[in-house]
Amino acid sequence: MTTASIDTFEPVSPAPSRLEIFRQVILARPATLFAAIVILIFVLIALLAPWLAPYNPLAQSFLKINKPPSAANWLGTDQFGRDVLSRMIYGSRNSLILGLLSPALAAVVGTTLGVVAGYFGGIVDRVISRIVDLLISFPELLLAIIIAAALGGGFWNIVVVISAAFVPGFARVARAQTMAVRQEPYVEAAVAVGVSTPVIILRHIIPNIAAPIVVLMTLWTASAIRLEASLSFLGIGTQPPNPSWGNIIRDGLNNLFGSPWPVIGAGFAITCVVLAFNVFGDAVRDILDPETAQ
Amino acid sequence: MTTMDRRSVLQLGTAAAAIGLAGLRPASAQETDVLRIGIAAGRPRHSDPNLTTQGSDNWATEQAYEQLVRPEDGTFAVKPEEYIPTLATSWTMSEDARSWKFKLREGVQFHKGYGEMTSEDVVYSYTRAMKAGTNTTILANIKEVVADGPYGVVMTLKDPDPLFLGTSVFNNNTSIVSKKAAEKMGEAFATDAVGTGPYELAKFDPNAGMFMKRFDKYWGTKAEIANVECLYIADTTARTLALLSGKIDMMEAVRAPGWVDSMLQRDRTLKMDMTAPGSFNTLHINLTRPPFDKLKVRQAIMHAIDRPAVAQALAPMGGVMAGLQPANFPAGFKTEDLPKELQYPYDPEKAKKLLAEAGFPNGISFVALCSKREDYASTMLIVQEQLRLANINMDLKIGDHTAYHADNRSDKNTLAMHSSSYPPIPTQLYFQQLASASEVKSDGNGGGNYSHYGVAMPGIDDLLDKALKATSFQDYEKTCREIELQVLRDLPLIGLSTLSFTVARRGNVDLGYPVKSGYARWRFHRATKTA
Repeated sequence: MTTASIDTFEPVSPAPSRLEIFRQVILARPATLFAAIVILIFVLIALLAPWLAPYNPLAQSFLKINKPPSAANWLGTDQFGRDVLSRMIYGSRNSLILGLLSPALAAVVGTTLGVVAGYFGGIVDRVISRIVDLLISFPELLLAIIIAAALGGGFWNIVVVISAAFVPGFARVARAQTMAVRQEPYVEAAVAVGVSTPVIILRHIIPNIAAPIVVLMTLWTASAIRLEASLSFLGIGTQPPNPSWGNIIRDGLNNLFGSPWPVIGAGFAITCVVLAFNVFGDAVRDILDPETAQ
Repeated sequence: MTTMDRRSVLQLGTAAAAIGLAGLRPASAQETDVLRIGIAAGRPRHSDPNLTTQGSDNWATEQAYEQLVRPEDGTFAVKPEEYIPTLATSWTMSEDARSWKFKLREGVQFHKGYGEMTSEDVVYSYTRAMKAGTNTTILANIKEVVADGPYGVVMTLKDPDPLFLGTSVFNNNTSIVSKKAAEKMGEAFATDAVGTGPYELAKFDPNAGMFMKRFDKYWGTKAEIANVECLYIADTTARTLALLSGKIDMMEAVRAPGWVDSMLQRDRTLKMDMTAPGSFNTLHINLTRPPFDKLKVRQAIMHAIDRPAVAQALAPMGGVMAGLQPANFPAGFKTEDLPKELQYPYDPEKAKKLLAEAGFPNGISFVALCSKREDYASTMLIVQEQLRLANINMDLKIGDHTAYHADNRSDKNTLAMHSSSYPPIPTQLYFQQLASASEVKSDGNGGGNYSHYGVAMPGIDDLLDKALKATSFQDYEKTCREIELQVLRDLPLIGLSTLSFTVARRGNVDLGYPVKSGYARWRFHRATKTA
């Protein structure tokens, strides 16, 4: 008699739920937890800027040019006698809003292009892919500089510039994912029963390619912040007198030897936030896209 | 002679600064036979003094060329008698101030073996500068220049000019060049140079700079240091690091608030050579752009700008101008000597009141273009903040310096800052920035009158004409003072501040004379350098 009880089989553990992964990835890793806290702090600083900043970030005072840190000005003053800490606090708004908004916009546009190319194929795919290839052959910063030089500075222009720099990347990922998903039986089934194309795309394609897009978005938030800082440093990003971390460094560079605090402060802030978003982005990838992570 | 390109200066500067920041100063291996100046521009354009459009190129032309007369090194000749014989040994002016006779120095040799300077070269140099070049408007008053024997020249003017030595003779464009060399080289002369100065051009490198060596057949006292290198390092940080590390001996300063103090804090032995007054920083109000056509709006702007504070912010380089001339220049006023209504003290509340009276109780907003060069950008950022406190919101578009000037020249700006250095000859500024003949044109072919003064509203053309025809210095100055008052009443142009032209110099270099005033360039032939 064969009485193989089921006890003798290897136990099959159920696939861990996303919540479980979240707990493992975020809470169990000190680095990710720390990154999350750093991001939270900076988001709070940006949101509460008017209440946190001790001074008006634009107010000049020529009685206190290039002062070192003191009780009144924690990070000293710049060459116009403006409070560096207040400028950094307000500058966080530009950096974070641009950092979050631009990849989101780029994701929408890029995914649309990629899905259209991947789904329809043929001439549509060829046209879109060649344009994307063309754009992707430029480094992001160079592409951003070219567009910024044509459009000029200003907040919305910078949003457009950074978004445009990221669109090709999103388009390419979305196209590849769409081409894979398009072969799936459930898509073929939907086509067979006559579901309309927009519905197929919205209901069957997009949800199934969302994970890598969201991962990309998180990781590129850090790049967007870096890009905004680079553009502002080059003088084509956030326009003075409005503060952004990039142009605080740029202004501070002329006076590096008089007062290094603007450069040190803003440089530190950029480093922290970029690092935090990168670490956090890695964690998001581990949750949403475990295959790549492994 | 070792030469350095910009990249190696940058690399060495950065490396040296890294060491310097760590508290370890590099042992400076300095050569005492070469003097290097770091110039605030990307690359040299011309070495022909009649063509230089980029002020920085004049550091080289100043060493290679000379005029018939020059002021004492490091000064401006405020009065005609302060000029000293240079390529001319003596001169006389006719009573009607229309005819000038010069006796030339004999035995003066041109660089590169082009022979002795004679009246033929002087006539050639003047004639070419009158015909074409960057200063034809001012030289247009010269009717003719003729030789009077091999060592004599007679110049006849259309209108009398008692200040002829200052307006036309001591002038970059009328530097004496070799006729033989200019004709032989043709267009190549633009980047080659054959003059009579204490240094001759050895190499014009469009990517690095101009390299010069001592001219051993110089007619006067030979230069002390054998070589001069004008290295173009546009990036302010790289230039500063190169100076601090000893890779260059002098640098064109960063004319931004606090810069001088911070440099001196960094290195106490540095010397700052400054001209006074230096540049005249003016602000054109475009009269063709509403609401600037309204006098009350312009008065509001004048009251909203704290001009002494602008000068103070740029200390020690900044200086106050009550009108359009500094107080120690001809026609210059002290603020307290002006009629009360033309003093325009800083008063943002009064500015708001004037705006309300002009129909703008909630203030005004407009876009203005600005150059990113530090002296422009910092001055305009100060002005912007001051205006903001009077409800005048100026949205500054800060861009490339060359593009900024091109935009100004095509009438694209509203409030246009301009920075230019002038000799103590007030009519030069009036002519370039206020005369209707210099009105800006949208096709870019106009002049530097960006406010359209004299066209959009009656200007100072008649007074200017009267000043230019004056036969005595007293009459000239009196008319210029009338112009100053008229401009303060009409407010097409605001004198923001003067800004010393400044060079930071390492302590082991001695220029041989103090720099007090003059154009934004000076000679190095008396300089000495210790290890």
